[in-house]
Amino acid sequence: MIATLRFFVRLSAGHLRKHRLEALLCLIGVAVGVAVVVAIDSAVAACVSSFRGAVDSLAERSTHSIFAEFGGIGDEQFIQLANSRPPCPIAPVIERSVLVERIVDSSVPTKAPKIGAVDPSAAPVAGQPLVGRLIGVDIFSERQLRSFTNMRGTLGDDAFREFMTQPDRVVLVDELAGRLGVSAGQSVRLSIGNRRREVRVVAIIAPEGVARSQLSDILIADLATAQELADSLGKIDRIDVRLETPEQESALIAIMPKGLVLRSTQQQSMSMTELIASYKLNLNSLSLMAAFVAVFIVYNAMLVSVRQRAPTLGILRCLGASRGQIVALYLLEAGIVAAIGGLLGVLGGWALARGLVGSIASTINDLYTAVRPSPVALDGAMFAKGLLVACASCLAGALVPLIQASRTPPINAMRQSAVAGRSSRAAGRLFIAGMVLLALSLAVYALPGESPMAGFAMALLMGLGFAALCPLLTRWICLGVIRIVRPRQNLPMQMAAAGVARSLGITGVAVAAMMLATAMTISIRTMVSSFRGALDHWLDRRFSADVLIGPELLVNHKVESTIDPAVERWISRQPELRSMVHFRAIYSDVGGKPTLISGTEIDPVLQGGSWPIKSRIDPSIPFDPANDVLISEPLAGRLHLKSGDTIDVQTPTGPRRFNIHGVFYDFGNERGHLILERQTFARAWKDDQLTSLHVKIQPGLDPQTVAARWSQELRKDYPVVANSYLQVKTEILAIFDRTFAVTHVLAWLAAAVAFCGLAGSLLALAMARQRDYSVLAAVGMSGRQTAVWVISQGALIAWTSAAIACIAGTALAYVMSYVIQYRSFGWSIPTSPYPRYWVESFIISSAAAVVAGIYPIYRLVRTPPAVNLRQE
Amino acid sequence: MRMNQIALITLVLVNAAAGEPASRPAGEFLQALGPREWSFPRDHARHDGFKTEWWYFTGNLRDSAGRRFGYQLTFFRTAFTASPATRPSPWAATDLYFAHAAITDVEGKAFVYADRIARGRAGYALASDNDLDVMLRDWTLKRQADDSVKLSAADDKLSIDLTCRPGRGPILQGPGGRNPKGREPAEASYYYSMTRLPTSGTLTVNGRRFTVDGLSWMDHEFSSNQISSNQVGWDWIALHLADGRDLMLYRMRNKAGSADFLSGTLISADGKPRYLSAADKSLTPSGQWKSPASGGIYPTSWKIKIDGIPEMTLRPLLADQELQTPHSTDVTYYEGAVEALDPSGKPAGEGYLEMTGYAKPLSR
Repeated sequence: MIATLRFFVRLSAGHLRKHRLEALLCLIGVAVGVAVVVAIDSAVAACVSSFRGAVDSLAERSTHSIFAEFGGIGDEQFIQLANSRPPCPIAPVIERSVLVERIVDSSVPTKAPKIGAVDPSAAPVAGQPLVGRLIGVDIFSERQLRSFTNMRGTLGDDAFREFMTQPDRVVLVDELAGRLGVSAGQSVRLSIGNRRREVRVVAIIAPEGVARSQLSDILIADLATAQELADSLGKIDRIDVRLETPEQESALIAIMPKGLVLRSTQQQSMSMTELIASYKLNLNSLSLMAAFVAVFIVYNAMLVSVRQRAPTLGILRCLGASRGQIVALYLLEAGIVAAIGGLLGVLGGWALARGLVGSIASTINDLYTAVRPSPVALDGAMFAKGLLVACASCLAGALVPLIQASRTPPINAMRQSAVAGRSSRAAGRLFIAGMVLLALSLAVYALPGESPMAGFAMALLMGLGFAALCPLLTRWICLGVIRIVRPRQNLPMQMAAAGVARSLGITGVAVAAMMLATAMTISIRTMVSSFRGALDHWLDRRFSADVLIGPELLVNHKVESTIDPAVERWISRQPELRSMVHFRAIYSDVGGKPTLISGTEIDPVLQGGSWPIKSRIDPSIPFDPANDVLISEPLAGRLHLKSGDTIDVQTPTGPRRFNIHGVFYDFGNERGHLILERQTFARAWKDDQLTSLHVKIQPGLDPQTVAARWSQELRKDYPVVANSYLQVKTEILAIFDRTFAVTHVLAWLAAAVAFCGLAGSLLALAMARQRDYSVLAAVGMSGRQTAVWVISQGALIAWTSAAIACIAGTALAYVMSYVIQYRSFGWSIPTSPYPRYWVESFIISSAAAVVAGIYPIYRLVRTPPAVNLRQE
Repeated sequence: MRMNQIALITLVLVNAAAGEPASRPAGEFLQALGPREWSFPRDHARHDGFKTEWWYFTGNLRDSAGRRFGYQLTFFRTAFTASPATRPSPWAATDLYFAHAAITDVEGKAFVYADRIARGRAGYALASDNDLDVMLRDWTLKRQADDSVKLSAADDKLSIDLTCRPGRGPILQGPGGRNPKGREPAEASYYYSMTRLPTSGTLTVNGRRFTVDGLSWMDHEFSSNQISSNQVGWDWIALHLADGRDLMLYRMRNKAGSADFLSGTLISADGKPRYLSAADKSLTPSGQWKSPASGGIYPTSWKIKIDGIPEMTLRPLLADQELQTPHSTDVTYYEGAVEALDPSGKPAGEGYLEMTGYAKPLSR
């Protein structure tokens, strides 16, 4: 047994030595595929665990929190609970996002934060505020829940007394203090709610242990101070509790005042996982696409290897080697490729993840919530995952060649033509299979259900289907080329086309792999461009305003921030003002998920005709401000609602049923958006505050100039930002581009994997045709003609794949837009083909063909014909 | 005189340096410098301007079968600052309240206790400023219309639900109610007691409820001082003597372990106090009991010699009556039901014994 194994190892090693480059390309293909999967997986995981860590560190020993169904918890509700002898420790908490900055001099801040999240890990810029979390606690309730709030233990006597008794006093964690450059005794400026406040830092504390990095943005204030700073007199945000048994939980629920709900800390961090689930699914699927391409590469490499060693295998079989032994030989080789490729892939993936994590975190910051992932660590799980992907790809890729190798009768193994004949027949069968797969893909769309997974299944079936069409289409295209070039006596081209058509076993796979990668690139770019176009158009209609005014803190997904009513009064006095629309937005559960609810003046919005309405009830029926609402497409999709239906919404004044007047396109919020008349909102939610103002200015004025003047004036007194619509749009589109940057990286990596496949195929073709070449060279074929021959082969493969990819890619783009995006995020993106990307694909494929051909040409030209001819 | 509270507060809050000025400049706490005009029920209430204040109920009770119990229910108030800022939030910290409750079940050999803490706020933790009415969440003590006081406190392991009917007192613990604690003029407090309050109600120990009656002792004291730096703890005794008199004794201990300051009051059956001078009394500890929880070593017996009454030996009814207070002030002390025996071994009285600073020195 060992002797056999040793023999096989020597046999494989000898073969690999002789075909180093092919082996290397195959390894690279597998490694890149694995790297992409591992990188995406661990980068996203790092972001999720950072969020979970932030929640857990803050919760420390508390296991649950009590929230109010609407708004905050009244002080008296907390007191009622505390006086009912709760079965567990409870602690009132106020938690607010704040912008915090060092006060350089007495001047007001002039640098407004940019739209989009302020990256919490970014280095501080002088005068640029940092995002922090202000935690207001009652330290006497905290003891059994949290250690880092134990001011009695950590502060000196004077600092403690000041912290407890004086207004506007906070304690900073050392990292935040360090980044701000403040020390105890100095003051910092906070933007909180609709106000800007100066607070004095009474002390700086250093949290310890694992929580340290997750608490690096914390400011701690006494409960009373936090109520005063947050303008939340008589209200707290939540009650943290520590439950140890189910009995305690039910006992607590039994005494909880009405209108309060209990949620576990895990549920809170789960909500983050849920929040980014669609984003994560999209990234993971793209990364699997890269692994999928890698499967083709392995298949190709293995097939080539089987072909190259057919005579050896034949001899082995003749000498009595069993089929099982031949299978074992190939399994061994696939295993070696998987092991080495997997290891390289994990290392590469780790490096890639370190690069990607920032980009992914910035997207999550932009779109969802603040995360500060730690650098991705190389761990056992990553190796296990990487090796698993590598083994799966290698096994899947090796399967067909294995069967082929084991089934080939010894006599056929020694004859090339038999193989060629069989691959041609196989191409026909594959074509039929491809058509079936494409039909299945369409059938999946017709299936009931709304999971985006179905979209991915469609895309996968479609990709496989198009891939299966490749061999026969390649043959047809080549035969067509031969028919065209034959009258022109273009021998190298004719030979190339015949060669590609004859070796479909190799070339078909190369075309399929390359086609898949190219199609992926085309589909992603088509979808992204369509999306960007749609977003651009939507923004113009959605914000039909010149200047937008909102709270500074809105930049960090904190819609609860408001603007002072005085800001509105000030704007209304400005001579530049033509008209103004008010918005109040809050998050509230609709259909079990947090949904954005806005109160605004609907009539001007609808009358203007610019609002991006998807559907509405008969336009002749006027909007009823008291009972009608508009809902966004994602909300309509999630709750299966359409214009004319009704929607039930829980409000602080009781359940309400509204008529859906219309559905509007919305790319702003995947969880759903409901808009109603401002007065109706104010009454139902008992909230007449303002989140933003959309202002139109007098014709002829420059919005940028007006926004700048207003911003400068307003920011003296209020933490608000006035931006021209153009500025906002530019920043939003920049966020969009950042979001899809990762996607492009993935597409290009898949293309890199495909390039390895192409290069491998060309090399294999060249090697397979070595004897033909030698005969031709002996009768006078020049080096140049050789180059044309090889490059023509490459070009034929590349162009064929590009041609099929244009169709497949565009089809995939439609699946992505109308199925995956719609089912993941609820928005439909009007999609159209982008011929520009088709042309680019041809150009890039051609370049790849040239580059991939260099080494095979070198090998052919360098080998003296006599060497090969002698073998005859 | 109950001094443990002062030290508790020392641990909780910051005080000005020892030896505060005699008068009260702005931002300084009031001092017990001279005799006081007392007026009840107003003086049962909170005394703003003083840094610390407490209401202390202890008692020895029996059920109908003669099963003996001791109980303690204490509320403490301590001010964060002499002149609190006026602030909009009702949570703004002015006073901090904490409370300890304990029951000794002599026959069941059980000692159960609980403690809690909260900042002062109406409805949450507050002492009235015009009557005896103190609450810390659902723990309360409140004077009723008939002048009785209702005590109520419950936790997982214990529940106290008692009514103390009017009895002996208020008795001022020192001339004009001023009770000296040290040799400096400012080292004093205002202190009165209601020494014999017929008490009935229920006690629950580890889920078992007992209907009880007996006698309670109430102390109310307020001051703005703390122990001096050379003192490490004190011992305090309150006894209902069998002959109808009541006795309060305390001694402060210095770092060397000897008595640093000794004081007391003997109250006659008709309610007349005799303030004992140092020459009138001696208090001698003996024996050792080591707390398995804190490692503190406490005396197990006290010999009391007072001019005018027979010599007595004091013995705890249960060895382990030590409280640890992790939910409030983290102080460890001994507060337990005791009996006094005459030289022939006959009962001469019963009451409460407090010993502090044995697990850890209580000085700053």
